[in-house]
Amino acid sequence: MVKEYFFVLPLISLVAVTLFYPLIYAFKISLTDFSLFSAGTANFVGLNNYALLFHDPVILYSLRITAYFTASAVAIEFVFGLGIALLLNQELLGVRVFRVLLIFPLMVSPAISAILWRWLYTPDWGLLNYLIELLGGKGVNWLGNPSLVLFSLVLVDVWRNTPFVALVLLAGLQSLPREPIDAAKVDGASTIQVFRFITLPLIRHVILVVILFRTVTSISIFDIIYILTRGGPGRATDTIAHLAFKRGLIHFNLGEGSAIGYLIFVISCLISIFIILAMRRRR
Amino acid sequence: MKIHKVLHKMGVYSGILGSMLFLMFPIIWMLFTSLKEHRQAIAVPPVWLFTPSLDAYRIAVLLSPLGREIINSFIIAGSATVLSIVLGSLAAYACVRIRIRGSEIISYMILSIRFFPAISLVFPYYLIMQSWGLYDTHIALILVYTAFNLPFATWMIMSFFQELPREVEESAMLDGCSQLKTLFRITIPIARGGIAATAILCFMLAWNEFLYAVVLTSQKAVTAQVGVAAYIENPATGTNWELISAGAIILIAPLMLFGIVVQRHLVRGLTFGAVS
Repeated sequence: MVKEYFFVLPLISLVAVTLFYPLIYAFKISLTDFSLFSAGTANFVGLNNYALLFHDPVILYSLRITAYFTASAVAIEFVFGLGIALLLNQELLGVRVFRVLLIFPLMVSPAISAILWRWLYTPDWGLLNYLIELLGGKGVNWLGNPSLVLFSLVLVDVWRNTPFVALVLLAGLQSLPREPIDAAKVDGASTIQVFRFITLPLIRHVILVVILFRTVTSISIFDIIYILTRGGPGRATDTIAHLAFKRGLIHFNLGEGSAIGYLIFVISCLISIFIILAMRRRR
Repeated sequence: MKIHKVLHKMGVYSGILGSMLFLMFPIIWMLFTSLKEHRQAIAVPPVWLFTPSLDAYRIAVLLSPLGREIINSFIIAGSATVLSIVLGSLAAYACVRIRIRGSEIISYMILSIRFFPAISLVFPYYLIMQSWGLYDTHIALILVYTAFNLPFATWMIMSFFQELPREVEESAMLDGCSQLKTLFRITIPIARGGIAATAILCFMLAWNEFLYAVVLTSQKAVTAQVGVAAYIENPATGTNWELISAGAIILIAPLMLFGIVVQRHLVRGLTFGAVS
């Protein structure tokens, strides 16, 4: 009996040491005003840092920016991804090739995707502005215009993550039974009616899981912000994870950074619970 | 009726082609840029016809810190992958073959680790690595990536083990094999396709990681992801886009090849069994 638990021991002890211990440690830090500038002195300040979360306009602003970003990105990725999935669900020549091509943006790391788009977004010799001017428009400052920059970042996220949504939805579509759809078509239903009343309800669990998935991942978006804008111009793209990083490792106020990090953790936990519930229902 | 069908097909194909163009174009443009010389790379209007040259790659890998950084990435991602697969196979075997009470709860806990926001743990990790003297070492990142990959690897390998018929293993054990021997001689070889796919996904996650690489390294253990990003920030190299592109393509290329190999299992890996 003991020998069997021996197999799982490395895993459980690793999770305990690498996840639970730092989690507790992070909470401890967030209860202090630990700052690397104060030469390591950490005074217990109780829940002060957490009170800040509700009163500091900077933090509240970051939460709003993150909400805008997440909502826009997930919505666009869902619509775009569903469209691609529906297109690829047909029995057409070469569909398999397209399915493979679909993976490529996913293989690109968020950091490299930021670099790819940085190159496209360059105002003076960037390709996007050149194409716009070719079509008769006027080039824009993708990363420097405060009203535009959040959308530019959303576009990078959409580029990288739509294939994920498309692949998951495609798998869902392809696992559907054919009889209801065929029966409806025989009864004279149009394509749109079949989609609205049969296909969509049948894949609603998959849709829920993929939307929650993308949401919980979007909330802690960091790489593309750090590489493309560093939260700027001004604070137009200072999402909550980037703010935590800034407070903790640039201003070196680790107490505050940890508290913000914990907030992100709690929000992610809540969403994860929904994901697990949604997945269990499917069983 | 026939025209209707032809139009429909044309519509579908143009939709697919349009989407593929959008998804492929940034990568392709980056590839082109990496094959140009500097003046061609930043020329306006963009140069479409040019003689390709591998100069940018040569400079990026041999004459700049990027070569060393790529090696760092390989060492770190490779080690983390090996550790994750070995330890994960052991744990997966236990959870699947041996009746451990509460293994379903363990599975869901493992799942939820995937949604863990990376930013929430950077601060304790930063302090811990500093105090252990592991700041800016390969070991630090190997430990972190193994820790984050292991639950995922266990979960994936578990799902592959669950698909195997028990009869082969049972007959091996009847013939006198211990459980450990059965695992290595029989179960793993049969499941090697899925385990390979898991290994590729683990490698990908470690190779592409950015936040911890930025926080836990500064000079010696810098990974290629951080290195290429640093090119842009450095005013001296910020406009050498042919070099930056070369670096980016080098980072993307191995994963592209791996991705094609593993694409059958990719959906399962990405959604942890939520779909199919």
